[in-house]
Amino acid sequence: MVERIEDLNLPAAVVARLIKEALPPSANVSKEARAAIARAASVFVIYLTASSTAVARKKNHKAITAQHILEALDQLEFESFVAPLNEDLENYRKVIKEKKDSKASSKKDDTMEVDDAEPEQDDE
Amino acid sequence: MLYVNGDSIIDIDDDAKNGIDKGQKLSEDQLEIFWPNVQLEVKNIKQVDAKTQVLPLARIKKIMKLDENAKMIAAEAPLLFAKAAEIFIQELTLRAWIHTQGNKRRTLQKSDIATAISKCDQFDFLIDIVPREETSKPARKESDIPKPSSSSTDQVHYYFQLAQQQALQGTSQSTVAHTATTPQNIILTTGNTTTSSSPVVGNIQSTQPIQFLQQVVTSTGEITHVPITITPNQLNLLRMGLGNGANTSPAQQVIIPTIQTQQAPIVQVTSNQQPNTSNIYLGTNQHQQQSLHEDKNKNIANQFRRNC
Repeated sequence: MVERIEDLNLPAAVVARLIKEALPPSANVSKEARAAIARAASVFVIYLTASSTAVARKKNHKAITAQHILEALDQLEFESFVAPLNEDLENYRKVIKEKKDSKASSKKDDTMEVDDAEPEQDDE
Repeated sequence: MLYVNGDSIIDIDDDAKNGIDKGQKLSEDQLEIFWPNVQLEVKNIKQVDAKTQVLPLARIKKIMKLDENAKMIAAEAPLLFAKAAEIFIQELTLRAWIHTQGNKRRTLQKSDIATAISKCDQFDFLIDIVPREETSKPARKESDIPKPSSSSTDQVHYYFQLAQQQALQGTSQSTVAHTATTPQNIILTTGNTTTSSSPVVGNIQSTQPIQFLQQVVTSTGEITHVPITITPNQLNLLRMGLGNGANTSPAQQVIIPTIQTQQAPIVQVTSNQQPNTSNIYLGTNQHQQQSLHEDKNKNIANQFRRNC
């Protein structure tokens, strides 16, 4: 599954860009700080996954859906995230729908694609 | 960037069209197909670009799959996670930046992140992920350790229990009938734990003699208080004797004469019962000390929370 520990880090370039976006242009960020934030973000993903699965389990759902994630965020006191994420989700769904409309011939699944439990397949 | 690209392409596209209008000198057919294709490609890149701005979904999915329970993940989930992680990174950065500015620096340091994490409930789960700097760690330890060692007698809480109460609690069977009028012995019980030893060790090093207050029940049922003074040396002896007694032979006794007031009682340390002697139990209450420590920690935690 995970060959190297670096596989669990989020790409440094993206993290660095996100950090820069958040700060005023004159700000500098030490290397250590960047690494720490990237690590924190990875842990955040794990943390949120754990609580999302817990939410899904409670409802006897097998797959983690957007709803579970939003609920988990609420539980973890990250409720401020919910509104922007909802917006993003709507955008995403719109894009997907447009794609589907344009590709009208190929697929007919319109709710959501659920990946099966084969991690090897989804990796990269 | 993209805008510029788009403009330049449109320009070239116009050129191409002009070329077609002017005549068919070159292989216009190819050009005709070529430029719209490029334009389309660029347009596609625009869309893809908007997507690559977020964190890589495959990577996020990989991280998610570390959780054994996360077997099935909706297609939307990694996207939401990516966005959530993005917001998270920026929020954490901003909170850390507040501390950078507070320290009049212009470079965000790891310590700022650690501070931001420690000051906010939301980020509690990161406390071990981004540990505080070495400079602050010893400072914290210092505040914890010296307190007991530098403490004078009032830091250690001794609770005197009457033998009768002890008997009621089932911990001792000593018969105490008319004991108390002339107390001869004090039995010092510490329980079997050694955790309480550290504060006392500190006391031994201090030169002050230790004052105990002894509660004595007289035959009429009144409770009187008799002060007892134990010198550090005597306490040390007591401690040694107790340590041995608790660990090896419970019947061991250490008898130390105290420089005492009128009655000149003998301090006797034992974990065994002394039938037919008047016993007064003197126990260190570790729970009390522990709860004191907990209170202290809670206060610290609350302080952090308030700053969040």
